[in-house]
Amino acid sequence: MADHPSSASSAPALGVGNRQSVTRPETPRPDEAAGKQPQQAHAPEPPRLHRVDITGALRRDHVFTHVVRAAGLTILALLAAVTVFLIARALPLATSPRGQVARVISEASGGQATTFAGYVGPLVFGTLLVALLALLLAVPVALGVSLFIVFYCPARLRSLVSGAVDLLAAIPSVVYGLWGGLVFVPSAFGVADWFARHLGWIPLFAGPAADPPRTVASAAIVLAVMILPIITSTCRDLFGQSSLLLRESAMGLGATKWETLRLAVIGPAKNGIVSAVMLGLGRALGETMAVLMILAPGRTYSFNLLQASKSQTIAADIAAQFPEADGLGVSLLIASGLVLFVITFLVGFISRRIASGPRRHHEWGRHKEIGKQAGVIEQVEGQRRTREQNDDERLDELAARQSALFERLGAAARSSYPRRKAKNTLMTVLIWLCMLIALIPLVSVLWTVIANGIGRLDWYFLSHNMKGVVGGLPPHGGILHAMIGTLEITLFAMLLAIPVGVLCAVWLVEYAAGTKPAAVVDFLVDIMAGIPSVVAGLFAYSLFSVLIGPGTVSGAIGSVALAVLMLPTVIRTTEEMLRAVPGDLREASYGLGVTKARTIWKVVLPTALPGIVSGVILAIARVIGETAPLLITTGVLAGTNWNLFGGRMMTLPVYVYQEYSQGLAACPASGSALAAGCVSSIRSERAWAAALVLILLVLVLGLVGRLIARSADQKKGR
Amino acid sequence: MLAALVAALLVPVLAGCGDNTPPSLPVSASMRRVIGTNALRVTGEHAGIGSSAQQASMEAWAAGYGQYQPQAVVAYDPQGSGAGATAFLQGAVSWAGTDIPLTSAQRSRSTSVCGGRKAVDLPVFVSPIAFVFHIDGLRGAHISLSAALIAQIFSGRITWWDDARIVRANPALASKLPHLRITPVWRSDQSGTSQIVSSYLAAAAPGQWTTDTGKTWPYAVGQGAKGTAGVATTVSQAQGTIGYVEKAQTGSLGTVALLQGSTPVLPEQAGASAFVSKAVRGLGTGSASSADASAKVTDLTLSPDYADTSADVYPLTQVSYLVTCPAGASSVSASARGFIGSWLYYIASRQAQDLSAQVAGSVPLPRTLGSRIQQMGRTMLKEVE
Repeated sequence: MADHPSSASSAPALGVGNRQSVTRPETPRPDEAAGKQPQQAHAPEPPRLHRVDITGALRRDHVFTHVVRAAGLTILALLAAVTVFLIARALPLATSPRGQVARVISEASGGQATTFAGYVGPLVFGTLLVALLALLLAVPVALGVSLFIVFYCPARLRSLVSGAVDLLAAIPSVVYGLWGGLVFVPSAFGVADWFARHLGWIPLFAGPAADPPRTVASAAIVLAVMILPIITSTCRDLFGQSSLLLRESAMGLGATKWETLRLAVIGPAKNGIVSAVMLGLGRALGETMAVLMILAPGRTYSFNLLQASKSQTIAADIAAQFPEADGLGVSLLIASGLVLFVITFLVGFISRRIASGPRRHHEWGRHKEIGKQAGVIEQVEGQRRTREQNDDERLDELAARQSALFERLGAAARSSYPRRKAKNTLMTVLIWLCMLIALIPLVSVLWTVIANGIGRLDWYFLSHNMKGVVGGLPPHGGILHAMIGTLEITLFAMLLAIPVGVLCAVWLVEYAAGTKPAAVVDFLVDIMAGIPSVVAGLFAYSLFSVLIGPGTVSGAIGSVALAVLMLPTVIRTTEEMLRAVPGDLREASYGLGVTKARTIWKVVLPTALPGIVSGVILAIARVIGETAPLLITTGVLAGTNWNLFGGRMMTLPVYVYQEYSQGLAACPASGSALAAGCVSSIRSERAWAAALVLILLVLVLGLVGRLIARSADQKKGR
Repeated sequence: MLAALVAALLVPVLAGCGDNTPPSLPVSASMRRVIGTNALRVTGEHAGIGSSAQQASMEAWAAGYGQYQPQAVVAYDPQGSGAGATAFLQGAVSWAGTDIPLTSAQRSRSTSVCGGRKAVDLPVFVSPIAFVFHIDGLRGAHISLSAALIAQIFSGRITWWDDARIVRANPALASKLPHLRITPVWRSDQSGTSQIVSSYLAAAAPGQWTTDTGKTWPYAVGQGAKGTAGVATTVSQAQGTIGYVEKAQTGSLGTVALLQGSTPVLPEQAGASAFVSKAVRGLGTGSASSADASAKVTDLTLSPDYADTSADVYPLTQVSYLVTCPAGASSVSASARGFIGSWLYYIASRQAQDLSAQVAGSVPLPRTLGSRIQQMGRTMLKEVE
C-alpha cells in the first residue's frame, strides 16, 4: 500500500526540490523520476546540499512554523474568548443587587424560582432526563442497525441502507422539530395512553397521559431518532473494522452467528461503542430546536414521562426566553448556557477517558507521534494503522483475544445447542426489527416534507424573496434571500474555520505531537467539540455586542458562531487524515533535503487532501442546518441582503422556523378586492417547501463529501 | 447549456434580487400629498425590531408605505418586544414595536438616544385575544366563560368540561358539553400576550388569579407551547384543549365568548374597538393645551381597564405600541426623522389600519387616536422641511 500513493504524490515534491538545486544540470522530469524515487530519496548527492541556496527555504520554513503554531494557539485564544465573554455577560447575575436578580429570575420562571440554583436546577434535571432517555432508546436500535448493515444486509442493499442512515443524520433539527411537532406528536397519543392505562402503576408511566403528548417521552423519542444515525455510523465503521481472523476463529469453533458477533465484534469494540454513545449523548444534551418545538415545558423534578409541563431542557429554555430577555435576563440565560457547557464538557471528558484506552506509539523517522485516541474515528483509524504497521503487536493482541474467546465460547457451549440456536434466531429477528424501526421515522420525515413541500417548490419560490409579500395575498414569496444568506454565512464560516483548523491540525500532528502545549490544545479542541450550538450563538452575540457595540446584527456574527461549531470537526478530521499519511512519504521528502514546511505543504497535505475535503463537507452539512445560533445572531429579513457585514440576513433554517412560528395568515373577507388568491395556510406551506430545499441542499453536500471520500479511498488502493 | 444555466441563475439576481411585485394596495391622493415622493424622499433601510404580534401588520404596512416611497426599505424583525425595546434603547434601531409600554426606568434611559427627550409609546396595533377550544361535538358553537371561570380553568381548579360551573354559564350547551378533561394551553416563551391575559384575569377575577402578571405564564397546568402558532397547533391537535391566541390565529377553532356580566361578548372588532375607545378617553387632551404643541408630545400609553364588565366591550384586547423618539429629538438624523414622520402618518391612517384589519386580522384604531398619531407624524415632517 505504501508504495502506491507515495510514488504518485511525492512526484511533485521531488520536482520542487529539484528546482532549488543550482548545480544539477539535468533534472529528470517528475514523471520519470517518480518510479525511481525511493532509491533517489536514500541517495542524495552530498556536495549538492552545500551549494543549494537554502537561506530562503529555511526562512520560509521558519515562518511556516510560526504560522502553524499561531493557528494552534488560536484555539487557546478562542476558547479563552468564549469563556471570558460568556462569563463577562453572565457576571451581572452575581454582582447585581440580590433583590433585582431575584425579580428577574422570578419573572423568567413564572414565579417558581428566585435563585439561580432554583432556576437552573430543574432545567439541568430535565436536560439530563430527556437526553438519557433518548440514549436509552437509541443505543439498542443503533447497535442493531450497525450490525445489520455490516453483517446481515444483502450486499446489494448495503450502500443504500448505509446511505439512508447518513440521510437521517443530515436532516436539520428544525425539520425534525416540524415533523415531531406536527406529525409525530398527534399520532403518538394512542400509544402513550395505552402505557398510562396499563402500565400506569409504574411511576414513570403514571397517567393520565397528556393529549397532545408534548411530553418528555415524545421529545426523547424524536431526539433518539436524531442521535440514532450518529451512533450508528460510528458503530458501523467500528464493526466494519473488526478482525476477520477473530470472527473466523469463533465460527470455526462452532459459535452461532450471534455468538460470533457478540464475542468477536461487539466485545473488542466496547470502548469505541461507549465513546460513540457519549458522542450521541453530547448531541442530545445540546439539541435545541426539536425540543423547543415539541416539549411542553415545566420546571419540576419529575419522572412522569407521559405528562406534560414537567420538564424543560436548558438549550430549549434559552431559545424560548432569549427574544424577550433584557439586561439581567440575558445574563441569566447566558449563565444557564454556561452550565450546559459544563455538562457537555463533562460528558466529552468522560468519553475521552473511556476511549483513550491503551496508547499506541508510532515511529515516523524523526517524528514520535503519540496516537491520541480522542474520538471513535481515531480508534478505528488506530486499529487500521496498527493492522497495517504493527502486525506483530496486532497478532499478539489477537492471540490474547482469541484465547479469551475460546474460554467464553466454552462457557457458551455448555448451554444446549437448540437454546443457542433459538437465541441466534431471536437476535437475527431483533436486528432486522431494529432496521425496520429505524426506517420508519426516516420514511415518515421524508414523506411528510416532500408531500407538504413539493406543492410550493417551483422556480418562482426559488427566485424570489419575501419583500412585498403581504399576509396570505399573492405574490406568495420565496426563499432566494434565505438561500443567499445561508450560502454567504456558511462560506464565511468556512473561511474562518478551515484555514485555522487545518493549520492547527498540522501543528498538532507534525510539530507539537507529544508536547505539553499540544496536549493542552488537544484537550481544548475536545471542549470546543462539546459547545452546544445555542451556546456558540450566545458567544458570538456577546462577542460582537461587547466589541462592536450593542445591537449589532450581521450575517458575519452568525458565521462566527458556525465557525466555532465547525472548527473542532475540521481539526479532528484533518488530524486523522494527516496521521494516515505514511511516514515513508515524509522521510523520502526529508531525505531529498526538502524543508519541513515544504514537505507538509507539497507532500503531506496533498496526500491527505481528499480526506480533509470530505470531512470538511460533512462539517458544513452539519452546520448549514443550524437554527438556534442564527436565530440569536443574524435576525430575520424579508428582502435580499448581499452584505455579510451589515444588517440582518435571512437563512434557510431560520426561514423554516420563522414561517412555521407565524401561524395562519388572515385573509380578507371574500367580498373584498384583495381576497382573490389569498391562502391562509401559506406560511406553513412555505416552511415545508423551504425545509425540503434545506434537506436537498444538505443531501447534495453530503453526497459530494462521500464521493470525494470514495475516490480518495480508491486512490489509496483500498 | 452552461450559458443558459448561468443566464437562468442571473435573471432573478438582476431583477432586484428577487423582490416581489407587491399586491396593488389602496393608494389615496390625499396621502400622496403628505408623504408621497413630491413631498419628501425617503431612501435607505429603516429597520425596526419588536413584537411578533405586529409582524403581519408591519408586513402589510411596509408594502403599503412602499407605494408612496418606493426607494425606502422598511424592515421589521419580529424578535420580540424585549429585544425591540433593548435595541431601541441602545440606539440600534430608530423605532421598535412592543406589546408592553416602556417602563419608567426605560423611558428615563431613552433620553440618551432621543437627545434629552423621552421616547414615546404610540398605540398602533389593536387586536382582540381569543380563547380558543377544540371539542369536536361543539364545532361552530361558542362557549361562554367568565374571567373567574377562565382563571379557575388555567390554574387547575376546574378540570372537566362538564363541570357544573361551566354548565351553569352555558345553559344552551348543557347537554353537549362532554365529560372530557380540560387541557389548558399557554405560551411557554416570554410574551406580551401572556402578560395581557394574565393582567386581564388579575383585574377581572381578582379572587381567582392572584399571581404576578409577568411575561411568563405563571401556572404549569396543562401544556405550554412556543409562540402563538405553537398554541394554535397544540389546541388543534387534541380534544378538550383551550388556549389563548391572537384573533388572526383562531382559524377553524371554536372561540370563547367572554361573559361581561351575563352578556357573552365575542372577540370581534366591535367589542375591541369600544374597549380601546374607552381607554383613549382616559388619556385626556394632552399637548393641545401646552404652549408649544408642536415640540411637546405626550406619550400615548393607554391604561386599559381590564376590570370593565360593560356588555359592549371585549376587554381581552391587546394594544401594541410603536416606540420612537418624539418630534424635536435633536439626536435623530433628518433622514430618520423624515422616515419616522411619514411612517407614523401612514400607519395611523384609516387606510393603513383598514388594510391591517383585512390582512392581519387587527382592529382599526379609534379615529381620535389615529389622528393624534398622524398629527405627531406631521409635526416631525414639518421639522424636516
